[in-house]
Amino acid sequence: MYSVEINYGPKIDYRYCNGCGACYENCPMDIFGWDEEKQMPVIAYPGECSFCCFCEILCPEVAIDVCIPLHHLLDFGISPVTLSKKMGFYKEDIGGEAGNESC
Amino acid sequence: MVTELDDLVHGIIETDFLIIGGGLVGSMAALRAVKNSKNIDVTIIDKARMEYSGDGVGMDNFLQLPLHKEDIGKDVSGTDARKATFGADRMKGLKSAKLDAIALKNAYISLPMLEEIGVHVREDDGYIKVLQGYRKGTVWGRVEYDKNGKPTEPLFGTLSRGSDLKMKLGTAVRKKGIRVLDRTMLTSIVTKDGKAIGATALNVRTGEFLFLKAKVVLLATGTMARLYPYPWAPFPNRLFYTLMSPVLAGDGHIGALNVGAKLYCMEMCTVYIVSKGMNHSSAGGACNWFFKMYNSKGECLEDKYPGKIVTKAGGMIPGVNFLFAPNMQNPGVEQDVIMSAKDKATPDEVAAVYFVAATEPPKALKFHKLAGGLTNERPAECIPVLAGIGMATGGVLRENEYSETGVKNLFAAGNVTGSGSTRGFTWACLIADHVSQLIRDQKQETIGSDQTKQIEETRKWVFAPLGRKTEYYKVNPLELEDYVRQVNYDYIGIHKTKPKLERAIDLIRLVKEGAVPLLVANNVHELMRAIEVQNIIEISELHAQSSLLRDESRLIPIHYREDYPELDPKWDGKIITARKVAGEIKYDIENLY
Repeated sequence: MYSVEINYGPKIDYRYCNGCGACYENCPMDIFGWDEEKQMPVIAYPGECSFCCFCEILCPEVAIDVCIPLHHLLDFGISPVTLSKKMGFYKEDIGGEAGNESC
Repeated sequence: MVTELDDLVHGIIETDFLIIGGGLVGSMAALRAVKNSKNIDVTIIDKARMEYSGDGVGMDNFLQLPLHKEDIGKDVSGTDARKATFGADRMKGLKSAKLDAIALKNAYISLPMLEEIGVHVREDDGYIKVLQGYRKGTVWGRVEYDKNGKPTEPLFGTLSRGSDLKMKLGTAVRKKGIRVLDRTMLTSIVTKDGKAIGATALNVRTGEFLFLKAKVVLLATGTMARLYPYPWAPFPNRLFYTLMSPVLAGDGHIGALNVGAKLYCMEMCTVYIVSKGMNHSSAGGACNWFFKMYNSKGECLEDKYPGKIVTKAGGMIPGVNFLFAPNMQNPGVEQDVIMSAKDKATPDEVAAVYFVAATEPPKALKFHKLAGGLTNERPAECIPVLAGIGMATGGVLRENEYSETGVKNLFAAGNVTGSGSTRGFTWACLIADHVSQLIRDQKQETIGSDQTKQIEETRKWVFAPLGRKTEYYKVNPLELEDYVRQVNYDYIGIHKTKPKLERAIDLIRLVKEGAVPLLVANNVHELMRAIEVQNIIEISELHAQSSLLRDESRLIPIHYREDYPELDPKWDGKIITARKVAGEIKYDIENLY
C-alpha cells in the first residue's frame, strides 16, 4: 500500500545541532518534541508546520532548514530542479540510488 | 470546598489582571498596566511561546490616519482623519461608531509606549514618513508635506519601522517580571453572578489543568484563522498553512460565548488576495497591494475596472475587494486566470514588498529568496484566500466604552473583537488604564459551589478525548478539522446560497452529534488539537447560521449571498449577534453599541 510520508517541515541537521532547544522552546505550533535521552529536539508533528521559519532563524548553529511542500514551491513558480541546481545538488544523470538526502 | 477545587486542578494562581493571549494586544496591555501601577499583579497566558505567538510579528501598518505634522500625538478625532479611517464608510454601520470615535481620539496613545521599548515608528525628527498610500504610480515612499504641514497626496496608512515589534514587546514583558505562562491554552472563563472571576487553562505540554483566579480578565486571543482550508496544500498542511497565525483557533471566541458574552457579525469572513503558493501579505504584495493584476488578455484589471478594484491601500480590510468585488458583476474575471507581472514593478514597489516581508514571519523572505527575488520575470497567480473570522469584521461584541463584553469584568481587545491593527494597541492601553482603577476597588471573589461545578464540567470536557477508549471507531482531531473546514469551503465560502448554507448546518450538526463524541487524543498535544477542533466546529455553525440570517450582500465578498446579491438598506447599522442561553445559541438582530 502506498503510504504518504510527510516530507516537509523543519529538517534538523544533527551534525550541527547543539541541543540548545531554541526551536523546541519557540515553535508557535509546538511541532517539536524533545528527546530526553539525547537531549536533542525531534520533529514530532511535521504535518502541523506552518512554515513560519522561526526555528530556522533562531537556530544558532544554522542546523535547521524548513522544507516547503512541493505544492507551494510549484504554485509560487519555484522549480525544485532550479532550486536543486542552485544548491549544488542537481546532477543531470542522477540515478535512483544516488539521490541526495535533501528536501 | 477548597479541597474539592484543589482536587480538580493541578494549580491555582491568583492574579489581579489576567490577560488571555500574549500577542500584540496582550503584551501591550500588560506593559501599560504595570506602568500605571507597580502593585498590580499581571498574568499572561499564551497557547504558544509569547514572543512568537499571535498573528502580529512586526507591524506594517501603524495608523490608518493621515499624517499631518501637527496631528502626531494629538487628538485627531475632529480632523479629516475621520474620513481616512479606512473602511469606515464601507463598513456601513457594522462597526460601533462610539467605540471607533474613542479609538480615533486615542489613536496615538500607544506610540510613546512603543518608543519607550525601542520600537522606532517615527524618524529622528519626530515625523512618520514612510507610508503606504493610495496613489497612482508610486505606492510606497516617503511622505511629502506641503508648507502647511499637510501631506501632498492623500494616503491611508503608514508602513512603520516595526519589524522587530513583537520581539521588543516580548522582551519588555519579561523584563518587567510579568508572569507569563507559555504553552497554556484557555479552556474556559469562570464566572460568578455574571461576572468574570478567572479562567481555566491547560498546559499543552504537561497536561496540567490550572485555575487562574483574577479580578479582571482581558480576552486578547486574536482572530479565528482556522475556518477554511488552504485548498491547494496537502493534508494536514492545508489546515495550518493559513494566512493568519494558525495558532488562532477561536478559543477566546468560544470561551466568551460559553459564559454569556455575545459574538457578532460571525457571517463575515476575511477574504484576502495572495499569490498562489505563498500565503502571506508580502506575497499579497505581488497581487495588487503593490503590483498590478492582469487578465489572460494582458489587460490590467485596475485600468479595466476603474474604481472597482481598490489597489495599493493597506487598511482595516485589506484585500477584500482587490479582486472579487468586480467579479460578482463580471464573472469573466473569476473564470479567468489573473496574474501579477512583477517585471513591470518599479523599484519602489519592490522595496515595498520587502518592507512588508520584513514585518512577517521569516517564511516570507525565505519564499521570495527561493523564488529568486522579486525582480525576476516570474509572474505570480493571484488567488483569493478565506482567512477566517474577525480580523476587522466580527468576533466578541464589546458593549460599553471600556471595551467590556456583556460579561462584567471580561474585557476584549484586538482581532478577537473584529477591531485589530493599531486599534488593538489603543484599546489595550485604554483597557489597562481602566483596569488599573478598577482593581483598586475590587477584592478577589470567593469560589462557591457553582464555580467548582463550572471548573469540574470544563475539566471533564477538556480531558474527555485523552486516551478515550472507543469500541469501534476513533475520530482523529485533524481529520475532523479537515472535514469541517472543507464543509465550510464547499457550502459556505464566498458564494453563499440558502440551500448550501442549510446543508452546511446539517453537516455540522452531524459532525457534532456523530463524530465529536468519538474524538481521540493520544497525548496532550493532540488533546490541544481536539479542543481546538471543537471550537472550530462551534464557530463554523455560528458562521453558517449567521450567513443564513443575513439575507443581503454586504462588503462583497466578505458576505455575498448569491440569492440576495444586493445591499439591503434594512440591514444598515444592524448586526447579528449570537449568545448562549441555557446551552442553546440564540441569534438576534440588533443595533450596535
